[in-house]
Amino acid sequence: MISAKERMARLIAAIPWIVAQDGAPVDAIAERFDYPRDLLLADLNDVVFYVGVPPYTPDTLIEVLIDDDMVWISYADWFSRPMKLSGGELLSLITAGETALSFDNQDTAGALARGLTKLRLATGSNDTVDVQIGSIDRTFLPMMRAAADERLCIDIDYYSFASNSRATRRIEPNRFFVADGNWYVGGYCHLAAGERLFRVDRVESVEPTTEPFSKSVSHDDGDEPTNELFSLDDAPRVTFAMPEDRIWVLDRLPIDEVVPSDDGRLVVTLPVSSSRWLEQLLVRIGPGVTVIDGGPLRVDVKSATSRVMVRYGATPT
Amino acid sequence: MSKLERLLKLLAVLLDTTIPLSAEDLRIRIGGYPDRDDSFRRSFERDKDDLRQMGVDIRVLPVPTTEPPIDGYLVDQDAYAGQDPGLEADELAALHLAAALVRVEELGNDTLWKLGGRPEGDALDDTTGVQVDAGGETTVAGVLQEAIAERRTASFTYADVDRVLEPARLSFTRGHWYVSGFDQTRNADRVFRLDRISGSIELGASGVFEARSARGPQVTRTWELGDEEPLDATVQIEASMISTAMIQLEDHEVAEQADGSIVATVVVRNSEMFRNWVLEFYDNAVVLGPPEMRAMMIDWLQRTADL
Repeated sequence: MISAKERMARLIAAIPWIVAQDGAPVDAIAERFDYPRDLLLADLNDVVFYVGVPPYTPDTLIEVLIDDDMVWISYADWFSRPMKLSGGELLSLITAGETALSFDNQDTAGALARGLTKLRLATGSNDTVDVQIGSIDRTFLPMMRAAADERLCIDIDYYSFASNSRATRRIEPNRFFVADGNWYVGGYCHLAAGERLFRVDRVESVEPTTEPFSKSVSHDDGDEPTNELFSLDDAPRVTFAMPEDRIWVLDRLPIDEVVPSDDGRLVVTLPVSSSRWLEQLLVRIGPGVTVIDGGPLRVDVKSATSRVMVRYGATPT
Repeated sequence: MSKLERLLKLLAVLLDTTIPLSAEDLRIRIGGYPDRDDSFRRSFERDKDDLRQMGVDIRVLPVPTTEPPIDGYLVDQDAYAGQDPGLEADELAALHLAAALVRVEELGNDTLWKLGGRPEGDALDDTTGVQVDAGGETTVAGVLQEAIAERRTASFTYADVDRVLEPARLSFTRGHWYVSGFDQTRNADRVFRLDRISGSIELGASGVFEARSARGPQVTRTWELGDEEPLDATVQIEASMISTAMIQLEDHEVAEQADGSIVATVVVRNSEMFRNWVLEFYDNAVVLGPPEMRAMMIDWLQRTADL
C-alpha cells in the first residue's frame, strides 16, 4: 500500500503536469508517476476533488473532470507549478547525469548533456557546480559495461598493487562502483578463480571476447543496492594502535572497531586483504603507529618504512 | 477526512496565505483534525513533519498583532516552486535513464516526478548500473547549493576555526564535496571539504553579499588546500601507478622517463596532504626535491620506524 505521504508526492507533481498538458489520459498519468491506475482514479475523485481553501466554494476548490479515460484539472492555482528540487536532489541528479555520460554507451549522450545544461541554467548552478567522476580512459567503461550487459568475458591487462605485478586476467564484469573518485569493476576473475574487484585506473587495456559468463550468478536489477564495495567478511583482521589526530587517514575505510587505549592512542581493527596495502597504510599513518595483531599477515612497521626509505637512499637507524 | 486530503488542504492553505497562520487558525480552516487539543497538536506536528520531509519549506513567523507573539506558518510560493527547465521529452528521458543507471544518495523517484515524471517508452531493461559513493555529504552540499543560489553566508567551524563564508562554488571530486568562496574570517578565498566541517551550518539572510566572488577558487588537489607558503615539489612515480597518479595530475606537465616512470612538479600549500598522497603509492613514488621536502619525507619515515 502506498502511504498518504507517497501519494501526496505523486499528486503535487502530477497535478501541474496534467494542467500543463491541458488534460492527459489516465494511463499516461499512472505510468509517468508510477501511480496504480485504480488508486489514482480514487484519489482524484475522492480526495483532490475536495481540496481547496476556505470558504471551499466551487471557485476555491480544485476542479477534476474525468471523462472517457481523460483527466482535466483546473482551479489548482496552488499546485500549478511543481515543487522545486532540493539542493541535494539537484546535486545528485547532476552527479548521476555526469556519471552516466562517462559510463553509458552514449546513445542518449546528446540529450542527456542538453538536459543537464537546461537543469543547471534553470537552477542557477551552471557556473557554480562542478562534478568530476574520476578521470580514466573513457573507452574502457563503455566496453566493460557492454560486456556486462551481454554477459561476455573480457580480458584486462591489470596492475595489482597487492602483488606489485601486472597480468592479463579474464574476468566476468558484473558490478560497477565509484568511490573516492576511483572507478571499480567487480566480477569473477578466472585467473584468481574467485570474485575480485579491480580499479579501472589500473587497467591498461581491455579486450572483448566471445566467451560467455560461466561463473557469475545472474544479476538482477531488482536487487537492493548495496553500499558494500565488496564483502570483507572473510578478509583477515589486523589490529594496530595509532595517534588520534591522524584518524583522518582511515577516512571511509571499513573499520570494525576503534577503541581508546590507555596511552591516549586509538586501537583500530579493520579487514585487510594484502600486506602491501597494509604497509602503505601504516607509513601514511606514520609516527606512533604500532601493529598489535597482524593476524596471518606478516607485517611490521620497520620493514614497511625501509621499503620506502630505500627510494630516498636511506635506511632506518 | 483522510490524511491525504488533510495534507493537500494544509499545503494549499499554507501556499495561499500571505500572512502567517497560527496552528489554531489552520485547525479551523482545514477541518478534519481531531477534536481533542492534545490529539490535534500531535496530528498537526506530524503533518508539518511530513510536508517538511517532502521538502516543503514551512516558514515559522510571528502572527501579526499577537502579544506575546504566537507562531504562525506559511509557505512562500516562489520558494516552493522551481523554475521550469523546459526539458524536451528526449532530455527528460535521458535524465531518467541516468537516474536509473546511477545510484547516488538523495536521488529518488520523487526527484524525477518533480521534473514531469517518466516519459512514455522509457524502460531500462536488465542492465548493469553503477553506484556512486558520495559519503553522505550530498545533504550538506545541498544546503550550500541553496546558500549559493540565494547569496546567503554560511557559518560553520572548520579546523577549529569559526568561519563565515560567502559560498560561490561546489565541486564533487574524488568522492568528496568541496565548497569554495570568500572566507570573511580570513579575508581571502578558501576551499573547504564538507566532511571536515564540524557541527551544523548556519545560513545568513538572503542576498547579503554581492556575486563578486561568484567564480570562487576552483577545487584543487588536497595538497593545495592549505595556508603554507607555496612550494614547488617534484615527484617521480613508477610506470605501474601512472594512470592512478594522472587522476590528480591531469592538467600538469609530466616528463616521461626512459624507465617508463614519470616526473611531475606540483605546487604544495599543505605538506601533510602532499606527503599522504605520495605515500599512497608506497614504494612506487619518491620525492625528488626540493631538499627540504625530501628531508621531511625521510624524517617522517624515520620517526615512523622508531617506535
